[in-house]
Amino acid sequence: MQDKNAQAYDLARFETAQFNTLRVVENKNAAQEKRRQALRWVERVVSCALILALTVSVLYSQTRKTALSDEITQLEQTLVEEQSVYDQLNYQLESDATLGNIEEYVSRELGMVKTDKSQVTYVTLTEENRLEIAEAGFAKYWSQMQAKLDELLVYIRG
Amino acid sequence: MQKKMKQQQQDTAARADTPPASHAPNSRISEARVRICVLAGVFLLLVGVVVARLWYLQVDQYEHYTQKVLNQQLRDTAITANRGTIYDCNMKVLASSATVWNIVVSPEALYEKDDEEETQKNITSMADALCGVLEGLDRETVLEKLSNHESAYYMVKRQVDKTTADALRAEIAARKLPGVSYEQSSKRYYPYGAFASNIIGFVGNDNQGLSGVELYYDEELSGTDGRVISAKDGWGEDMAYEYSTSYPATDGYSLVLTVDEVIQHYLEKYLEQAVTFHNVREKGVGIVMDVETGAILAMATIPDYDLNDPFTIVDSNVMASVNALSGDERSNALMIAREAQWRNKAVSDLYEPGSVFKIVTAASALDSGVVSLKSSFNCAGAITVEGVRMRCAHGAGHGVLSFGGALLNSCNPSFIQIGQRMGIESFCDYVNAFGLTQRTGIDLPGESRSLVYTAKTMGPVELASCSFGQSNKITPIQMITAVAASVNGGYLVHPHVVSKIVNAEGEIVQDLVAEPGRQVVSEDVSVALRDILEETVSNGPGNMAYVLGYRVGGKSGTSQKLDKAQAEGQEVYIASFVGVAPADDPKIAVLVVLDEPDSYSYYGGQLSAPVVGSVMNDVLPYLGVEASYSQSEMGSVEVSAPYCKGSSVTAAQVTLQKKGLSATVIGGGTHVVAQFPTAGTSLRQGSTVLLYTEADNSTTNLVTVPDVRGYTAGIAQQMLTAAGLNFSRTGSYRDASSVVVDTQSVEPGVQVPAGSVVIVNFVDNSLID
Repeated sequence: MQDKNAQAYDLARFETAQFNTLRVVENKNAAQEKRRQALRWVERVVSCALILALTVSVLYSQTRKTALSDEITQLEQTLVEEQSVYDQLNYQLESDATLGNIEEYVSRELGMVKTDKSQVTYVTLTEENRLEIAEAGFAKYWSQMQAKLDELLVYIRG
Repeated sequence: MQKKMKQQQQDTAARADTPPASHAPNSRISEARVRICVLAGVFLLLVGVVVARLWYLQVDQYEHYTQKVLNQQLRDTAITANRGTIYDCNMKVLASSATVWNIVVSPEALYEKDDEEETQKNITSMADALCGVLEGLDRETVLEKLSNHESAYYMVKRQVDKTTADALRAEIAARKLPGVSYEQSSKRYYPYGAFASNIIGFVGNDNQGLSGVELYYDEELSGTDGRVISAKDGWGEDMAYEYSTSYPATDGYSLVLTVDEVIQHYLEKYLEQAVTFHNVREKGVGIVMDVETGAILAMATIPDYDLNDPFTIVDSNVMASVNALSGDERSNALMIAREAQWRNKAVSDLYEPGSVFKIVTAASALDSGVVSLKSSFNCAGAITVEGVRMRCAHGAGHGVLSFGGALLNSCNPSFIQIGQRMGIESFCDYVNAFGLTQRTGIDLPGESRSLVYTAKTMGPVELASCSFGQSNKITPIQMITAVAASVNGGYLVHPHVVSKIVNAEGEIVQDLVAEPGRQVVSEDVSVALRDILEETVSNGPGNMAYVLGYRVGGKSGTSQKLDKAQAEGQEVYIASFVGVAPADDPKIAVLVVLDEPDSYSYYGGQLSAPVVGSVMNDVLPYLGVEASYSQSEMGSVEVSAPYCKGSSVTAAQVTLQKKGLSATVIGGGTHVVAQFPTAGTSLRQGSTVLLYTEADNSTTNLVTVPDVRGYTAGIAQQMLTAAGLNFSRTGSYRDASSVVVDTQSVEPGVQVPAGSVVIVNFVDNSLID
């Protein structure tokens, strides 16, 4: 019976395990190790701080974005309202300043009358004849050179 | 560690001593496998069900649920496009839109569950606030709507301006009432009110065009609405930062009309005076057209209506008759009255043009070559055509007339003969060539087709009556277009009221340049007609349209409304006149039609011609047409009396002389202390100004105004001068025995200061059409 049971189980697994002895080397530079440990802590703190700063900045920018968007929406609404007031006032101004109203006001209140024909003088504008004498010889080349220099100056000045 | 391992070994040994349950190893394995299979089967079944359901929901019903998701998670807000502005030719704003607000109340929000008293208090307070601030609300109706607490949306008032909306906000806030919202909307404003009503038109509550160019160009003016699609949360609030897409609105285009605000004003002013003075029953129409391009510079149908309030009936008599009815009858009558009010008579109503049509007949006959300027015609006072007697307006007959004389004297028998010479086919061909058989195509809604005889339906009697302007029915816009073609060198123009379509930045999107029309008559015929028309105004029956210093041509027309005469036995007439100026090189044509005047006369030459003359008198200088006075006209030119008070007598006399005025010095002083007429008074050249040099005794120097009515110009002037008064002339400028004083500005027998100006109006009693 014991043999049958023993076949069912691998009792070799429960034998005493052989442990290799480890050779522990004593750390000669304890101070360095302490510094390293401290550095690791600093790293952890700095990383956490960075992550926190990033998170805060993202949150802040979102908040700012929300606030600015709200402000823009409000200003747009204000613009629409002011434009409406402007249009209304313009409309009232135009309604009062119709030609009929103006005619009545100037004739009744200001005593103005229409321009009579004698107050109108028609002037005919005609271009006078212009005579240009063509230059010749040195004067011609000199004036051409002057023209080119002027163009160059204009180009340089931009 | 070693202790632990020892303990384990002991445990294992202990278990080894204990015999297990009596099962064979193979059966246990198969049992386990069965259980596993069963579980796997059940599991697969469940998975299958889930997968099938997922397939159904996500593939089969994909469209359905996608739409549901979009409806649930997205908010679709429309961005209303701004409606375009309407300008006149000088970019004056005639119609524009502004933002306004619709007041919406949620009656549901006023409802306090289980507290009827509080609910009633809220409703009453809300009604008080609304009726107190908003005009035109019926309190009973408001209370009834607010009491319906199942409703969440009650539109109280539309298109409220910002001032009123702010006042309402303050009132609602003071009363601490919930449930009021302000929806942004748009309202159309027409700054000049009842101005160019039939051209501009108006819009409805949804800013859709209902008449005029607002209707005709509704698509261009409306623009395209935009949309903002954004995510919303479970409470329906916007989550704009999650998802937001906007499709901007495209604002409507603006229109630049050919209409000139100044010319429109003058036309409406004088037309309104004529309609009122002559008791015109069926409205007056006026059109001013650029004869070279067909551009409509002004168009009016009087009485008109205020575009800011188009649904109110202006005619109090019509409104009274509508209010006398009730129910459906009243509604129908109101609708008919409104449509009659909005109707643009210039393009929608047909009329028999009368003698004005003789211009078309004359041009056609000359161009066809059947008559020439030297042709002559005999008028015996009447002519019989196929047994139908048609008489001349001049009962005694004109005798023998030249072609020009026939047109000048508007002789019906002569024109019947002209028509007969042309023949039916030729006459109808020219009627068609002048565009009188089809619509002009003007860019205004509701243009009517004419009712004209065709060659198939026209007989000799119809030809005769059509020749002098009866029987055929056309619209005023067709008439003026035909006249323009007759005088502009023979080219048929295309009338239009819009010159340009521009976008919000002012860039031209479309330039509606009229295409050159076909040539209907030759240039020579056009020149000949202009001369005859000018003679008609200078020395003929059109002299009431005469304008000092300008060459004006024209033709009057008086037509009987035959259908009304036949149907109702009433003899009613249409008085019309068309003028063109300057006659030697026409720039504008003016047509005035008075439908059923009830005045001392019904002739176009007496009623409509002065309107055309007044319009020309103001419009021609405005257009920069130079006045040129002939010798005979110089005496009639008026000048303003200069300011002489304080000047020396000599200096004052010189100043007056420069203006063509003479001076009478009263008193022995050296300087002028008072003058009469006062500075600025309009005086004819040759008039006298009284210069007072010793105290102001102008008011004590009184004279009696004589009665000059019925006298000719020469005699009237002499009588007034002899009485120490100055003479000013209006009306007809023709010097003929038939031209006499009709009215004088100061009643006879009244005492007035010496030197006062008496304005006398002359009428030509010989005018008949």
